[in-house]
Amino acid sequence: MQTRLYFDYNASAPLATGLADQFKEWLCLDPKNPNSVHADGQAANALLETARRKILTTLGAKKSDALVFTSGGTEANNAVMRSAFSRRKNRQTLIVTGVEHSCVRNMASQLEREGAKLKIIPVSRAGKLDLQILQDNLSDAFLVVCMLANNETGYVLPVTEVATLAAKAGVPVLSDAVCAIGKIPFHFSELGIDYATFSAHKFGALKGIGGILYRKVAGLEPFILGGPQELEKRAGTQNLHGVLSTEFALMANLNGLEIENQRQRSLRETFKLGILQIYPQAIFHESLHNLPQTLNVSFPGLKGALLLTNLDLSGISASHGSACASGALEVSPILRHIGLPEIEASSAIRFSFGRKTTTEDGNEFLHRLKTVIEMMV
Amino acid sequence: MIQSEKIRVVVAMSGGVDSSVAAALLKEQGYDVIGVSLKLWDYDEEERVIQGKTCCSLDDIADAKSVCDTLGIPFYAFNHKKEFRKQVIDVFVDEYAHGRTPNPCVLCNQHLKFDVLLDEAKRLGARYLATGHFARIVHDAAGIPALLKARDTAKDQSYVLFSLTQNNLDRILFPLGDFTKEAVRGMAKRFGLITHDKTESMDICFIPNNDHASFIAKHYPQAKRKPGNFITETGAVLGEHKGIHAYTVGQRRGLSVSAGERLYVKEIRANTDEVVLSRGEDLLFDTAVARDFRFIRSPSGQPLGAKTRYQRDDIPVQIRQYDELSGRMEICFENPARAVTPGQALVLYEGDEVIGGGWIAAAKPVTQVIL
Repeated sequence: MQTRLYFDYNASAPLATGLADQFKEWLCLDPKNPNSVHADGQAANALLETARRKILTTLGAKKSDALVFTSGGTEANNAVMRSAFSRRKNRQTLIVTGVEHSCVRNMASQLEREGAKLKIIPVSRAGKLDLQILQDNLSDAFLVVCMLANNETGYVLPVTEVATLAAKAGVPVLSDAVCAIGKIPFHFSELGIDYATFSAHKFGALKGIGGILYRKVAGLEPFILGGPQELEKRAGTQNLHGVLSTEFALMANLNGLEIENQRQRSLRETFKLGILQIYPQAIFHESLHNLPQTLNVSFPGLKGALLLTNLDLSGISASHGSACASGALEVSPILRHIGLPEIEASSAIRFSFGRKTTTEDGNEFLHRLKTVIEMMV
Repeated sequence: MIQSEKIRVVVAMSGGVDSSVAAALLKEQGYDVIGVSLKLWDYDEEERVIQGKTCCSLDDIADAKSVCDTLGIPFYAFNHKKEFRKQVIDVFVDEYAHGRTPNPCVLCNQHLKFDVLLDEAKRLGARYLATGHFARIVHDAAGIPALLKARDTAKDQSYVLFSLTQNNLDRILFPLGDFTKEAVRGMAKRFGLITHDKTESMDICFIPNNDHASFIAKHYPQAKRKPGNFITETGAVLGEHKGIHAYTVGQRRGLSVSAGERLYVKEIRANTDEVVLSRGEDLLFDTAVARDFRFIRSPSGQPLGAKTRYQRDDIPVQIRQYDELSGRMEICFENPARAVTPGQALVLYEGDEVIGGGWIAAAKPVTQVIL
């Protein structure tokens, strides 16, 4: 059996180094319900709140900001959008960019069915937002959703610019930071946004934990009803082990992040050169500001689903398009939105890597890619 | 993959028992097996719940995946909705709109399984594509492949495979050709496959309730034909029908004409939008013309048999005229044959061997002689 090479960090990152061992300790510690008033409960609560404070500080939050844990990014984005909709008063327009994740797109469509007016800010092939459309619609808007980094292309969107414009019009901004936090430097208060959401398994924590970071003054409607947990916004006993793993993985990722980003940028350049040597027609989809560890590339003339299958059979995990419930892949609506012609969209593969990807992995990856492509053409 | 010495086979998996066992047998025989399902059509939630499982629905793809998990082989679902719509459903609807009775399973085999998927199998590094069809491929001393009926003739599916060429056959495996259906179910049980007791779908996969007229009305409203007349063989008007797209030659049910006796559709006249009803017990034909007829191999002069519908006995025939360039084939039945329907496939056999096939364009009824 050959070793597998994992190039799908944007789907889920490997567990942070040391987390598995640390986890054993937490399991043995066997913390009880953080909401119980007895000493066992208080001990668990101390673990939870210490982790929360550390995460808040690390992500650049102020005292006036809060963090509510959720089951992940989808729940977090859904909750903020619903909350803004129910607090909309006389404003009717929801503004979202054209490259948001399906959890934002589908919630936007749902709110549209419930009476909201939906306005899409187009994003160009080069990753540029049409800010004029944003400005033209702000006066009636109750929320702007603009992701920080796009999961498929790695485009880093100009969230600060969007937030400045929106703030002038008094419109709150939600930034889906699922694909940014842990990958690039993130500072909540400097971004000038009102809500940021994250999913912790994307940076090496457990699955099933994420959160909403928000300015308390912007407000958040309760979205799961029951007990008084999570500032009475999200009832239910907290996923304490998930929270602990979040803190651990976040620290592990932010440690030396800038140096790591440089290393990733140079690895990415190596991949680009290597891919062009193997397949000179390859086209890279990237913006001036791109995640250093996401590489979306089209292989015009090849079928993306087949290439992905061959890569998998040769031990490389990557991704292509979006999977429907059956697992069959469809062309990515994001790539369609930014205007890629069919031949590029249907042959696009996303390689995303990270901390654990070594130069040797990179060489082996290019070697296998070459073998696969030679077989296919 | 590349290091593997084993011969790679892609198995087309429908989620049914047959293709499951095909995959299991090949795995047992030492091949490097990859399971693939084709996602061809999006079923409505409603259709799925009411009609249960049909080929390539979500549940079927989940079953195929589960079988592959059990066998420990990789599984992938490929999306071919666009090709299926263009090559199968569009043609299916167009045929009905022209008063013919199409066979979408043949089209799906021809264009999806043995064209698109065969090519994809090659690009996945596979020497063979295998399916769960009941048919056999045998090679002569020179290595030339021939397509034969299944050993279990009651289950034989060679009729829907007539469009395969010798080049295709060289790259295809039918692992079930020597088994009975009962044996296949037994093997499924022995392999521990969840599909072992799954019921067989006899319907058209994208029309689980068999109501093609409603399907056309819902998905292809523009293909609906205007209402016209039911007429007798002598031209007398019996009533109004829903449009010729809604009828099939031989149909007896759902005609909603009260003539005091049982009538059936004898002929559909697309140019006048008339549906001819007849009270006769049987409609017999003595010649048929097929279009796009291609031979897998030339006839050897032995007696020829023909099938004009799925799962009918062969009828002795003779070739009256064949034009290789246009693919026009005219045959005559040695004894008058029943319901030879435009749109269905005409497949010729020499003994158990399929030697070619095409699409029935016209059939001439036996002139009724009144004594």
